Amino acid sequence: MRAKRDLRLAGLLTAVVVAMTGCASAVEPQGVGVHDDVLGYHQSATEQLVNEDLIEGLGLQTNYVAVGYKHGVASDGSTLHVQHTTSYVDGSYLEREANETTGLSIDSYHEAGSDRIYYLFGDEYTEALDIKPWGVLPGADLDLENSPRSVCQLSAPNYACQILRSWNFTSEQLFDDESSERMPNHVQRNGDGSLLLTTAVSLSAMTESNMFTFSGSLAELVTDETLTQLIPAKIWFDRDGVVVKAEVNGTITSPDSDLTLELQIGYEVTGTADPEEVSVAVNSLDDDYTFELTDQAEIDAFWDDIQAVRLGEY
Amino acid sequence: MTQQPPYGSGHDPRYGSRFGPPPGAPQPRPGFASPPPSAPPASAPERRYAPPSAAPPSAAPPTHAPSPQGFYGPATPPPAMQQPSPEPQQKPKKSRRALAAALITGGAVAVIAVPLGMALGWFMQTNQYFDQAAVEAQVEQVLGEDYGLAEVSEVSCPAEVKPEQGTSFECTYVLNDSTQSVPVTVGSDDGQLLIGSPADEQ
Repeated sequence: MRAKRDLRLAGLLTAVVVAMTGCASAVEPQGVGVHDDVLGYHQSATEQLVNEDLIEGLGLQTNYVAVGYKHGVASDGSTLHVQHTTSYVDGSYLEREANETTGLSIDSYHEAGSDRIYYLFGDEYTEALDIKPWGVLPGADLDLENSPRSVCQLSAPNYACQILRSWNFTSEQLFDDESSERMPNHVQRNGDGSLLLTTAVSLSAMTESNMFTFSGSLAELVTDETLTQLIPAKIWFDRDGVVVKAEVNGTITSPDSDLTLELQIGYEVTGTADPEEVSVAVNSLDDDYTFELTDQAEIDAFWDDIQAVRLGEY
Repeated sequence: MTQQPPYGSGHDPRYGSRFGPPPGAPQPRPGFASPPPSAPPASAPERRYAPPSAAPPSAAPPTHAPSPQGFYGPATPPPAMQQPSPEPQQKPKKSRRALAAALITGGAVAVIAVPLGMALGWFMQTNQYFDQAAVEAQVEQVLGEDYGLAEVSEVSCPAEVKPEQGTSFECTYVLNDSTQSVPVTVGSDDGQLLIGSPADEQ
């Protein structure tokens, strides 16, 4: 009888031991990023990405088709719609413009090795300035191999240059103003080596980088406070760190005027260019449709007139 | 007022874009702007890797067993009406021995069980570990959501990491065919993991 009781007691204790040992379970973790580390990481990654080499990276591309676009709608009814497409192959390029106003477009063509640029002007210019549609002006190769930053003279890549410049201006503005919010930078690295920078640019930086100008009644609504507003921006990089797409996209609501501004401004490489497409039979142009300017003073005056027509001031 | 410089001036455009209604142009068309891109996908739901449920502690041994109701024992006869006895009934000596035995057994159980329980408590406290797979999942999630490393793979963290505040270790992961590492520190005894800045591969 006693032996049985002892046996039961031993069994009971064993069960207790086994049960309590089983309670030594794994702990469930809750992971969080260290706040300062996260900010520092993205700031450092952004500074490495967005630098002067970026524009040079654009300029060293030898074959591409790229598009740049600006779309804006303001609450007062003002609009901005313009798009440029640049096809580039080894120094030759063909550029086309699409403008919201028919007749205000300017296309251009340059053949590698040539010292000329051919421009095809829309009806608004030919009629206002009484010129022939084709203008031939001096224009040497951009020599991008040795001066890649000259790529910003090409229409579509210039959109990327303006966005990058806007980012730099914004960064400087926020750095100088310690009371302002921190530059919102977030770098996403993908498995294929490509990257996406999510950031923002200020409206004043966009105007400072010549993305657009405000005119008329709209200019009066754009207050100093409005200019400090940030707009979301994204820049996509390929695995070599070359910008393949950039876009500023957002809506600004003025804090001290009745203005809402929707903006979508971007640049994107859409593919490679066929050399056959980047070719215009300029040798067969009839003199009746062509004019040529060679004197620099004359050229400067001509572009001033073009700009005046473009802005409706001619 | 013209703010755009003419052609040939460095990196500036040849002609500018004015934001406003051009004279003579048709009335602006509000709403013509391209729609904004679709919103990024919502963050992945938090993945939880719950450890196996802890077994409930064993019940304490019963202090007394229920009285056997007998099919097998002798049936208790119903109490008969008796005349009160003039002398008090004496307890049998066997009951005293049983009581003493029970006290001794109970004391022995207490002497053994209390230290054993304390020892087991200490054992449990000092032998708790993070669920390794759960740690790796948390690291992958934070790398993706906080550090923007969207497509890491092969996240590997050490096994048997104790949830003791201040404990540090490193996890490795593969991104873009390159093995990287990230520091992890236990932020609290209840399982918080502080995931530091991953090594910059650029």
